[in-house]
Amino acid sequence: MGLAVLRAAAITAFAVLAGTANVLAAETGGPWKLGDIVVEQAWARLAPGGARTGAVYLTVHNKSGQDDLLLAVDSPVAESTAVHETIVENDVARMEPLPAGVNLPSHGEVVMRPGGMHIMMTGVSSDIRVGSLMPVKMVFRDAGSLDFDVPVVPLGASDPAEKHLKH
Amino acid sequence: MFGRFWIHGVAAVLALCAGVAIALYLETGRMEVPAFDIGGPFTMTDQNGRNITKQDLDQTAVALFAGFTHCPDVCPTTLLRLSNLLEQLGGDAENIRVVLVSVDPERDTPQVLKSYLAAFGGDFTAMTGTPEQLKTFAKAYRLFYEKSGNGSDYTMNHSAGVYLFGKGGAFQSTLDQHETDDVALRKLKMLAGA
Repeated sequence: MGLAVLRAAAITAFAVLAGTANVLAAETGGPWKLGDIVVEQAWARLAPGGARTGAVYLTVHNKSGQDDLLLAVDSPVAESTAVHETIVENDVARMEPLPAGVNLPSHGEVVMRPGGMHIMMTGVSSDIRVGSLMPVKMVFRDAGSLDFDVPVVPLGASDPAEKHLKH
Repeated sequence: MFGRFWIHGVAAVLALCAGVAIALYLETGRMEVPAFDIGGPFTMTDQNGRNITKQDLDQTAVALFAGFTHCPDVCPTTLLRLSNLLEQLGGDAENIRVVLVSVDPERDTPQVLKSYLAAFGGDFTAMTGTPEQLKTFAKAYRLFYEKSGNGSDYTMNHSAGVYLFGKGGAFQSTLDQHETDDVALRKLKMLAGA
């Protein structure tokens, strides 16, 4: 009897832990590889309240001995997709597109995270919601193009890129 | 055209006031209200479609910031940070009213603001108004905003700081995103207790 209870408790605890691990794992996407380019720690959020704008955050590693350039980003589920940077200057926040692309230094990384660089999307399809996968295409000057699906996480979910930075 | 110079001046004065207030606090162990006037009469509309005025705001301590709902990056980040800080503050947080002032009255109707706030779970206030009402508010509360871009994809540039007002409406300090949570919590604790 006592053993059976213990066993049930252990199974329940295991199930709960496994469930938690699944939820955590589902919060970020990647890694995806394209030659020497690795994209990881990807997650997206939608502006709440039905504005249909969203932001994708991720880390891009360039493991090659040559610099590369992120030329363009795109998504079939958004009317417009572009890399933007939030800049706070003299206490004024503004978003600026990076039309010249994003330099990926050799053996370096570019981290997109809240309050900084991000992939900004407007006119996001109403099919995309929390729990969806947001298809994203990145076009690199040298490496070519890479397609991947980024999980849309709930507002207030942890910021894996920032945690990653602190390590 | 004068916007940039003006905002430089305001930022400098705010920083100075905050600095003086903290110095006075550290010196005397209590918060002195700096003799600098931010705030003034206004009428806006809250997320429930009701009028909201300075008298309403002055009932409690307030943490106020500018934003707009089409902003996917910095605005949710600010609101989430405030939400987390207030959670850490515990019971004192009940004394502080978080107020989002929309600088995008064209798109941010009370209904839009209501569903926006619902996503954050906290007991927050959001307000919007006619362009004229917003102009009056921004002038009184030293908020900067300007439209950027054309068509339906425009965004708003706006003041990034969180302004803290004591009960009664006296400006106390600001929060900015570069300070640590410890510093921000100390400011909020002072604000809640004042």
